[in-house]
Amino acid sequence: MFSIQYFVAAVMVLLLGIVLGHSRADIPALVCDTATPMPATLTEIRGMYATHTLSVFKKDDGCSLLVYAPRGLELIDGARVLIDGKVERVADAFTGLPGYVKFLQEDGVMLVARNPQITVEKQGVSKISQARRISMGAFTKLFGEPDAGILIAMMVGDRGMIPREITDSFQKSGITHILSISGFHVSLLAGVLVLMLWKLPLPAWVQYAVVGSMLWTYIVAIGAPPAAIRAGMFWTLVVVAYRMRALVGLPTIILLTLCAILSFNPALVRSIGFQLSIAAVGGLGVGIFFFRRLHISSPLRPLALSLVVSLGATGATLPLTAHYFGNVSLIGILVNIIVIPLVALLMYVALGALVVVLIWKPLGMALSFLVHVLMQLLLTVASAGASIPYGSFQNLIFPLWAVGAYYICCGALFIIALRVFRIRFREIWV
Amino acid sequence: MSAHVWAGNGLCLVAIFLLQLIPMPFQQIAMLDIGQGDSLLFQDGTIQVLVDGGPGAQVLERLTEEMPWYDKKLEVVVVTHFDRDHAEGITHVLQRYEVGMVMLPNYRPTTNIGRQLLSQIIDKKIPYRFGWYGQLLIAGGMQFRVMSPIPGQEWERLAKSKSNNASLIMRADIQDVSMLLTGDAEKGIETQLLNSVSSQALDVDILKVGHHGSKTSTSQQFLNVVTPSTSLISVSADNTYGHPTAEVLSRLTNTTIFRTDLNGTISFFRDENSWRVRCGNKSNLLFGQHVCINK
Repeated sequence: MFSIQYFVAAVMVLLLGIVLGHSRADIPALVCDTATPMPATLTEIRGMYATHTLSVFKKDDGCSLLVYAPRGLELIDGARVLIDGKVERVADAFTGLPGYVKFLQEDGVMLVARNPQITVEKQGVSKISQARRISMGAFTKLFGEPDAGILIAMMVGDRGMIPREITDSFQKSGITHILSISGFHVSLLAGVLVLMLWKLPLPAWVQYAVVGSMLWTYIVAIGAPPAAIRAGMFWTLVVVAYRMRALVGLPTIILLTLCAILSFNPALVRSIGFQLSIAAVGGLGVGIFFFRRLHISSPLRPLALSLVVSLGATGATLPLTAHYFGNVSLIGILVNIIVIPLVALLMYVALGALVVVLIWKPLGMALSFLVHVLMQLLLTVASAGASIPYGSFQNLIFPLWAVGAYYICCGALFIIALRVFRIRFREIWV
Repeated sequence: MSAHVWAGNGLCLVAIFLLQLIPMPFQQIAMLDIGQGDSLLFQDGTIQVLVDGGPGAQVLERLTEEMPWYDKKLEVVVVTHFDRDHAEGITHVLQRYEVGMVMLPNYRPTTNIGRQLLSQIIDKKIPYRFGWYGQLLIAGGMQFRVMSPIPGQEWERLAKSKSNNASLIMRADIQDVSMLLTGDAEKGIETQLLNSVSSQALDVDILKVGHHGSKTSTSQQFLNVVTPSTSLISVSADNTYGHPTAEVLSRLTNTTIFRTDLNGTISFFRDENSWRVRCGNKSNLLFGQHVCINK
C-alpha cells in the first residue's frame, strides 16, 4: 500500500517536473549596453575547448555576456574582470542561427564577445571551481595527452582537450558516453570505495558515512556536474533505503532519484544528457529484467548479460542520438562489451597512479605508463569499431514524432513481453 | 600448437605493442603534425628544445608521442613569433611541462595569445630571453644560432610592416645535420639575411620552409644560397590559405619535400652513424610510425 502511494507521488512529481521543464520562461526585456571596456563578473564556464573557453559573465546592469576567450586564461567563478573589445547583441552575432539566438536569450544571455581583451581585476574565490582546477591539474601533471584529456572527461567532466578525431571515432563506435561523467563512472568509484572499506572492522553506518562523504567530496571536487549529482543521489538513496530496510527495488529508487532531481531543477528535462542517461538506465534495466527470467546457466552467462545490457542501453538511446545528433551506432552494441570493463580498469589504475605518485613518484609514473597502454588499447578498439562498414550511420534525420512513436512501440513491446513471460506488472517494482 | 607456444606468441605480441608505445630518447629532429602552424621538437637523449607550439593543444599529444614517457621537462622552448599558429600551443605546454627557459621574439605582442603567453611566463617565473642575431644556445649535443633579428633600422622597418618578419630565425646543428628554421619571415628578411650573413652560415641540409609554403617567403635567391637537400613544410590539409603554393613547390623541386599534411609528423633520427627519416602518416599503420627513406 505504502509503495503504491510513493509510486503515485513520484509519478506526479515527475510529471510536474516535465511540465515545468517545458514551460518557457519569458525572455527578460533588458536593454544591454555594448560599450567597452565593461566591468563584469564570471558566473559560469560553459565549455572548455583546446583553443578557447566559453564563459558567461554578468555585467553590473544585470545583462549576461557570452565570451569566447583563450583557454589559457584561468578564471575562477566570481572573478571580476574588465572586458575590452567588440561586443555584439546575440541576434547580430548569430544572424544565421535563430534557434541558437533564442536558446541564449531564454538563458538570459544578451551579448556576445569574441576574443576580447580580458583584464582580471580580482580573481574569484569559488571553492568548487578551485577544487575542479586542482583536480584537473593533478591529471595533466601526471598523464600525457590524449590520456589526460580523456581521463579528465571521464572523471572531471571537461571534454575540451580531447582531439576531434578521437571524439569522432568514439561517436562512430557508439562509446561517446564514456567521455562524460555518468552514473556508470560514479558507480565505479562508489564500488571501489565500498570494497576498500568492506573488510575494515567498522560499524556498517560508519562505512556508509565514510563512503557517502568521500563520494560527495569527489562530486563537489569535480564541480558538481548534474550527471554526477544524479548518480551520487541514486547511490545515497540506495544506501539509505537499504539501511532503513525500505529497499523495494531498483526501479523505485531510480524513479525517486529522478523525481528528486527534477524537483530541484525541472529544466533538466530538456537536457540531452539527462534524457540520454534516463533512456540508457531504463533500457539496461529492462534488459536485465528479462534476462533474469531466462535462467541461463551457461559459463557464457556474463557475456550474454553484457550483450543484453549493451543492447538495452543502445536500443533505448537510439532514437535520441538519431534525433539530436543524427547519429546511430549499431556496432556500439559490441564495442561497449569490450570497452566497459576496460574503462573500469583504466579508471582504477589512473586513480591508483594519482594516489601512488604522491607517495613514490617512480611507481606513480610506471602506473601512468600502464594507463597509457590501456588508453591505447581503448583508442585502438574505438578506431577499429569506427572503421567497420555500416557499423554506424551519420547525418540521419529523425523527427521528434518518430522518437515518440519509437518509444510507444517499445512500451507496447514491453507489455507484450510481460504477457508472454506471464509477469505481473507489480513484479517490475520488486 | 601447444599452450606454451601460444602463450609465448601472445607475450611477444604484447611486448611489440608495448615497445611501440615507448618513445626512445634518440637524437631526433621532428616536425610535429599540429595542423596549420609550426612546431618542431629537437631531442638529444632527454634534453629537448621545442620551437613553436602550433595552434590549439595538439602539440601536447604530439609531445607524448615523441618524448620518453617519464620525461616531463622541456629544457628550452622557443617562440619564433606571437601569431596564434605558432604560439597558442606553447600556452598549453607551459601549463603541462616543466620548462627550463623560453626564448622569445623581440617585439611587443599584439595578439591576445601573445599577451597571455607573456603573463604566463612571468606568473610561472620561467626564465626567458629575447632572441638577437649572434646568440648561441647549446642544449646537450645540439646547437642553435640565432640568425635574425639583425639589429638595425632595416629589421625594425620590416618587423613593423608585418609581425611575420619579426620571427626568430635560427640555424640548428645536431651532429652532422644542419637545419634552418625560418618562422614566417618573408622575402625582405631573407634578402637582409643574404646581405648580412655569410653564405656558409646559411648553407644547410634541411630547410623549414618559411610561412608554411606561402609565396611571400622562400625566394629563389634565398634557396640558391641555402641549398637544402630536404624541405619541410608544416601545413594542414584543409587550410584555406592555399599553402603550400605551387610557386614555392616548384622552387623546391630539387629537394626532397616532406609535408605534415601528407606525411604526418616527420622525424629525422640518428640511427648509429646515419640519419633516417620516419613519417607518422596515421592513415595506413596500426602501430604508428615507420621508416620511409634514408637520407
